[in-house]
Amino acid sequence: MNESIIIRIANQYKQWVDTASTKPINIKPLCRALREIGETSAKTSQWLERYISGVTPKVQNIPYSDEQQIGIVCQPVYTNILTHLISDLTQDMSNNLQFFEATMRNTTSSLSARSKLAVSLQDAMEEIRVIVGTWDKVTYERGILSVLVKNIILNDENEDVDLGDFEIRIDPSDPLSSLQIHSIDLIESSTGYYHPHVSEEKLCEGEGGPGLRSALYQGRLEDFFRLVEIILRTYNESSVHTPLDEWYDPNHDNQFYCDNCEAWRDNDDNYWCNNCQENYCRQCDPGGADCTGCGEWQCGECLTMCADCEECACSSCVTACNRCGDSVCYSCQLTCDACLNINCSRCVQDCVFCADSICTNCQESCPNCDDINCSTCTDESCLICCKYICKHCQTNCKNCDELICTTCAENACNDCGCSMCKECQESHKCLLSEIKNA
Amino acid sequence: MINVTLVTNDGAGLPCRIPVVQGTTLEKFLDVSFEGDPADFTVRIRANGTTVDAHRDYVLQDGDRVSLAPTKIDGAL
Repeated sequence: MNESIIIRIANQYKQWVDTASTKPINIKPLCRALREIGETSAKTSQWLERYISGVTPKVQNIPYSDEQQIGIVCQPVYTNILTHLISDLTQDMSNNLQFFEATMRNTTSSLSARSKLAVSLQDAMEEIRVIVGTWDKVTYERGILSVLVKNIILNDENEDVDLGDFEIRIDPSDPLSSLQIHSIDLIESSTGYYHPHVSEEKLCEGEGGPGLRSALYQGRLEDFFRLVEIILRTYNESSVHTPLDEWYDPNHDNQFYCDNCEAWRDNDDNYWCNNCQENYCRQCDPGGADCTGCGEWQCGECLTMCADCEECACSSCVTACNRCGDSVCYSCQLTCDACLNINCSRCVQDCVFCADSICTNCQESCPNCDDINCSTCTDESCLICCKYICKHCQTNCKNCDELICTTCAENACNDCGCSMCKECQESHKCLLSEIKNA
Repeated sequence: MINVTLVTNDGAGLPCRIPVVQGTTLEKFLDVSFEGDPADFTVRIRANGTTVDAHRDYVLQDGDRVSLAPTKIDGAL
């Protein structure tokens, strides 16, 4: 770290010390809170008197004995408790609180006076140089002074847990409120913490709080970092955000194991796929949805999109179209009335005559008019061309009454206009024609 | 006589400037000036702009700063 940076950091820190040490601590909120506690305590006392004094003490007779079992103390003792004991207690509490308030005032004012130690720029620079020389990695980036502490290993009764490296970060212009503890190796507990005494990069100082503040106010920045490191290396199991065993033997209460990302997650983030029988978490973004048919949630891998309505459905609620193979949900499936196979809407048409749903395989197309019909409605063939024609295209020979198509029936007699089959045409002797010729 | 500053890092009070006889070792200084058990503390000496982990036989110099820090500090909620 070059000298100009050291000077910059030292200057920022010195300015903070100069400002902080002369600024008196505002204890008005504390005093106000204490007064309110006292007032509440007095009200509680009055309330207790009114309530308990209305309760009749119960006295139970012991069978076959003249003695009495007192379930609740007798009236005189009860009265003494109400009128003397509780009142004395609450009065003592009020007195103590008043004394505490006065003591606080005296103490903080003396602290404020005594903390006016001069921290020179040279002193501050020396602190920075010592810090650089003590810890392996000290950086200053974007106004943040960072010190790397390595191999934070905590132990409880059972295990040593290596939490990896951490960075202690401060803004030298406001070190007290800017302290952050950043995990480098991100060794996370099952409950989402990187250190038992660190939550969202905020250190719970505990016993170290007074020492940290004193070090900062007195210009002992090296001692500040040293104390923070000691707090990080100490495991206080009586007051933790999460116990150490959450790193090696987690209870996993209210958690489930995500098969996809192989991590323990909160139950609220749980998605259970009924098809593949696996748990997914929200972070894995399984892309699932509720089946449009049965309503059960399934992951994206197990869901199919209906080719007609484009809704998601599970594999049990879709069928492949018999003709094109596309998946179709129950709502969109169409059954061919001829072959009874399931089809999608694109592979089925209605018969022009009977309106039955006919799949592409069962459809008949009239060679005359190209209309789509079912086989039932195109079961007659022309006597002349032998093609199966629809009802619209059917007609009868006027002579022999045989079924012929309208195309073949176009060769009608020019004179009488009768539609006839070919054989009848050949043998037809038109009377009108003879009359005309005659 | 020389002046040595003692810092206890317990948050109470200010660093104390203590006059000691020249040639006083760190061990003797702590025996006299510090009530706690030195085994529960790490000791660092700030001398001439550097900080070192001093051994008990270290002979204190004028202007040295003896900084004691507990080996364990309980964090808490």
